[in-house]
Amino acid sequence: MIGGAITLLGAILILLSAVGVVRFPDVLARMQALTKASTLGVVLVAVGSMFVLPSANDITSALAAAVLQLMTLPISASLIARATYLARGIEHRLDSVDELAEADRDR
Amino acid sequence: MSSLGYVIGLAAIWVLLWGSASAANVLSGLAIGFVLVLLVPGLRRRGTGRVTIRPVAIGRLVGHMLWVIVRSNVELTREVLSRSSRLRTAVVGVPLPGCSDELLTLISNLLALSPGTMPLELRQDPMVLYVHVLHVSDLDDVRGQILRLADLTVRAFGSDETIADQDAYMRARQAP
Amino acid sequence: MIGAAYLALGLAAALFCFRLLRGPSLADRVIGIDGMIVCGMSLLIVRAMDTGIGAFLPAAVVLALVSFISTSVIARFIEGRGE
Repeated sequence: MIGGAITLLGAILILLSAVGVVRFPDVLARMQALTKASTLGVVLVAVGSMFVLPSANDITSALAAAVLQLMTLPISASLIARATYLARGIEHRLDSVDELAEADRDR
Repeated sequence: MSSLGYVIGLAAIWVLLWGSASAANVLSGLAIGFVLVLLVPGLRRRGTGRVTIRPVAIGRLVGHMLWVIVRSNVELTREVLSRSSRLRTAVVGVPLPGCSDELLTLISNLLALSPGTMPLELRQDPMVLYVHVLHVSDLDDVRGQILRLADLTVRAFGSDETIADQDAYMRARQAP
Repeated sequence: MIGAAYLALGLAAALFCFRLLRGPSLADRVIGIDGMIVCGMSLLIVRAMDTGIGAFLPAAVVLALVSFISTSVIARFIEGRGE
């Protein structure tokens, strides 16, 4: 019962991150929506499964998947964010200041 | 000595993947970890600074991160479901003097998990970390939040010289 | 509740697929694929919870690693090609 509720919460978080990825106007903002919500969503789904799965073998597999995802998603997301910012062919829109561009201009 | 940490960490992941902590799994995990640390050049110890462990400060950092992760998802929910978009994105530069490579990596990863921030680029000389921010209401406020996270991380894991540098920097920042 | 989780994850996968097909740049499509892989991992875990058969849970671990490596490689590609 409680395992199912936690897993449902994680699934709803992933759904919210998907809505954010579709709705946000800018590619860097969509990257952020994916990273924050999906990481926590996967961790919650795995934690919820701990209460329901029958054998310890399964529980450690699910936990290993969640821990690995938690460790690696920030790294790959910041790599893509950096590549997107630096790439000249991809348009990104900033509403306010851009200190990196200013620093590069002064250099 | 950090190579030993890598061996134990790799063995732990191996045991976790196999499911049961039997003697065969643990021994084969340690053997594989040992072989990997010997063969893979990236795992050998070549960092610039030592990493010290301070349990109380680590506890404070973990508490801050948990609170921040929950709050970031609440904010993201509100932002995603609202009718009009309240986003005002920006790229902010945060100076981080005197941090070692490991500290910078940890701070960048924690920023990638925190609400509304995503590390973009690190320029050296002077050492500035550029962060993409989702909702910037006040520029100095955002910089202050990021510096607070960096401060907590340095106090949890930094060496004593780094902490002294950080104290001096924060004092200089507070005295206008 | 497991049924609701299936529904939510299926809907999320459809939304990520929309971004994959529509996204004007390569980075958008990478975001779409990464999101779909996250949905796939979660669906594997939810299916294991539903049926009680946990034999394919290591596939979730493999998916996490593969998504990380492929996303990083595409990031290098974007940086090199500039588009």
